[in-house]
Amino acid sequence: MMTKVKTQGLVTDLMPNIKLMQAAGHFLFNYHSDNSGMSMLLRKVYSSVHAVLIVVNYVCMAVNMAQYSDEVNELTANTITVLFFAHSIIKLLFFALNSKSFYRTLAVWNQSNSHPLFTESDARYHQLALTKMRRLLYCICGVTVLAVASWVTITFFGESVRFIANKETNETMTEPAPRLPLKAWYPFNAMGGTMYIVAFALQVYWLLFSMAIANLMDVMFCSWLIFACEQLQHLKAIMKPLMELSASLDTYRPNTAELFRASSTGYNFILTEKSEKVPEPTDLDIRGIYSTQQDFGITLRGAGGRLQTFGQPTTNNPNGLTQKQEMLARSAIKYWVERHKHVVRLVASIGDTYGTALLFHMLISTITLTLLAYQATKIDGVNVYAFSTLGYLSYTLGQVFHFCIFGNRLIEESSSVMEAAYSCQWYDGSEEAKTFVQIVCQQCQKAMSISGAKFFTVSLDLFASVLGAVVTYFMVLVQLK
Amino acid sequence: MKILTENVKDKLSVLLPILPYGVLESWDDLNPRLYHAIHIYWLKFYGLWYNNFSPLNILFWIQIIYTIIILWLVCFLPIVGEIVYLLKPKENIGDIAEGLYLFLSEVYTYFKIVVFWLNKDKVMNLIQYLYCEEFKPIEAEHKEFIRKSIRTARWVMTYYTIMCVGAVSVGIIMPITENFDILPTNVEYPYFNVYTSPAYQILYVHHIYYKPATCIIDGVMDTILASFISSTIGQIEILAFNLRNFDVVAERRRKRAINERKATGAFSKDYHIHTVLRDCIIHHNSIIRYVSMIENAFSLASVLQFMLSVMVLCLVGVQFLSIENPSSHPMQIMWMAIYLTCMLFEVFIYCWFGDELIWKSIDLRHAAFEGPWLNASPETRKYIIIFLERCKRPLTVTAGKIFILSLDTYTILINWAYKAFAVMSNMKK
Repeated sequence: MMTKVKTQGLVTDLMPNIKLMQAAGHFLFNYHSDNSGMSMLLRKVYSSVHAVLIVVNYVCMAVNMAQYSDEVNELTANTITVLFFAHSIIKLLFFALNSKSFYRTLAVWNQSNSHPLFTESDARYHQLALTKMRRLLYCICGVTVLAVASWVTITFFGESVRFIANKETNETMTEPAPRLPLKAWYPFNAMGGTMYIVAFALQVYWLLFSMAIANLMDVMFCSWLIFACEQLQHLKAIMKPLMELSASLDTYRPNTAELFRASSTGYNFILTEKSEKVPEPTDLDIRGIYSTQQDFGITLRGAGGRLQTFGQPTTNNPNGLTQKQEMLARSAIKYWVERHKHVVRLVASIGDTYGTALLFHMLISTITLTLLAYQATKIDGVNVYAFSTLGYLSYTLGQVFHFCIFGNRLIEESSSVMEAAYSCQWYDGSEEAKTFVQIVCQQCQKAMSISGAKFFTVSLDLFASVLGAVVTYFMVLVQLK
Repeated sequence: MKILTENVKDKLSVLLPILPYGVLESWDDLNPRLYHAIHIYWLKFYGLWYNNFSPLNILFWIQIIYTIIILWLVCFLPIVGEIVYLLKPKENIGDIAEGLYLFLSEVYTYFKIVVFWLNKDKVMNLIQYLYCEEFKPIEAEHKEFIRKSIRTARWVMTYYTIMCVGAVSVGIIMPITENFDILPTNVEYPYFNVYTSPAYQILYVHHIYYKPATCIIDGVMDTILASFISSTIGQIEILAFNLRNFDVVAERRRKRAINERKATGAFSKDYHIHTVLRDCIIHHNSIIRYVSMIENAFSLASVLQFMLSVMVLCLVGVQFLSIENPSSHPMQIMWMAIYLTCMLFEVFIYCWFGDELIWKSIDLRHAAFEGPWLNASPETRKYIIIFLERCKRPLTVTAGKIFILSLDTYTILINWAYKAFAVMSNMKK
């Protein structure tokens, strides 16, 4: 019987993405409900078959590039195509080799702390993150399908030729080539007949799957960043009630009853809830994650006989808080700090997992964009050549923009935590709150960022410099013409 | 001398309703209205200020009709003429550049007005915010800082507009030196020849009206951001003074409380120092919020201003190079040079004020450190510690979150304009 797989944390949120990646042929073998040997073997075979097909076709394209490398235009065009799909091969290989660290990052958020007064805010921002992640997934899937469709459509326009350099006269001649989406060397003759249809179908399949492989991994990276940003938004949103709670411990505050509104339903619930711990072999750090039950237990014992022994609220609190409410107020700061540390762990894990992939992506994109700038100088009218060059250019820039914008958002969100801490009314809070604000301000001076294996930081500055470089190369090459 | 000015002011007081607020009135109450009085005056003069009447009022309709007439004269007619001129076939890139740079600058002025109207709520909020409690000057030194910032805001507006109108007058005088062969702006209209006798005179008079009008409107739109930033700088200087001398300010407060027989007069010196620093933090938070409001209201206009200025600068450069006989067209050369200077100045205003804001907010850190915190209690010092943490990050105004308004950005923009100019002039050859 297929039992529903029990997932928690990020895996639940990213399940559609994970399923799509498994369908596209990534070597992702966790998170299935049925882990028997037979189905595992079937899945491994499925992924291997896809990998072999993709690599074989890629090698055929590379052979074609080597064959017709005499003529400059032909060589440039083929090089751009080969580099374009190098992303897919690299990402496939990267995931296969690094799947452990991917699983580790997906498991970072399996156990998160909670506080009865802040569960509502937590749930709201979690829901926001989910909506954004889904929307991003649909958007990128749509773009991929659109790109494949337009590629296949544009194949039927224009002349289906390749350029050959005539060695005697040094002119370029055209030679008929099969009307296929990609120029590749096949051991069979693909000019017409059944072999043509086979080659065409293979190429359409290949286009779809290789673009999907590259894009889905980027979507997973960006979804992680979306999640981290929404957690930071949650932390910023609860800063003000946190200050008021802390202030209510020392000084008289009107309307303290409202601050504790959530506690009447949430508090008892938390104390009786049993926290479920599903043993995960790749949990990052079980010790560092605490359960609220245990935490409140310690505070109760630590508070001493002053509060507990006689069972009556003998608090010296100016707002007449009960001992329950006082405990909630004191643990609020602890919740904030622990949650922030958890977010920092998540971001560090994301950076470790995906940094190298970003570095390879940027390296290949830089070379591709340089060649595309050269190709763009040869545009002489509205024709197939212009459309295909602009298509390549916008797709490549779009891929870089995709992860730059989410990296930039992370930087902005994490640096604005300091501003949120300063702008809440900490000056009326307790000494404890002021120390908390001081430490938060000092810690959050430096924004959290994702780096490409320490070579560069993923932000909109990176995108602007890439764009600036393309424009500069284009300007220089235009002058040299 | 002072009596003379008083006499003159009395005689001119009959002109009070038609002059901007603050020209003849005294500045003693330091009304925040003084910052924007000239800007709002000119916008109202051209019917481009916000229509705050209700649709039931007849004045609402009168203002709408006035605005439409002015826009027709100053915006639609010239732009249509320039588009028709540009669409006529041209021989080389120099001719296109010639019509294009003026066209872009003028279209852009009206684009700024549209963005200004779209941001009506934000701008009105900004103007209202200046009246808030935290921004009111209390000590005599505070009043001096505010006076200085009002003077800066009004000075920039007045002198920048005078410079632009002067530049445009050179353009208007140009046809006189060219023997009435050309119009100040090259326009063509589809149904008649603009160089025949009645049409030429009418269009010349129209150009004499519309060119200074566009200039003044452009000047107002550019300098209104500068005046908001100037008011922020005034507030930051007040905050810096309070931080450097918080013991003196606390002592003055205590004396004032005793004089007014308030209960707080009896409290210790420490209590007053505590309240002064608490008020400093609240003031700082208000300033931070104000700067983010400024950024929200003017972000779109600034980012487009930057991108457009790069384009216009390189087009003016190309046009400069394509004048055939430099010695026989001195007016043309002068007009190009003056126009270039005005464009450079326009972007410079944005960047300079943004840069001033950054430096003044860095100065806040020094101000907090230079204050007499050594003698204060540990609780008071805690305020200074957290304040210093916040001041590590300077207050910046960004344009669309891409560019920070600062002199570094100015250098980068001029750099890019030069690169584009070099490519285009090469392509021309």
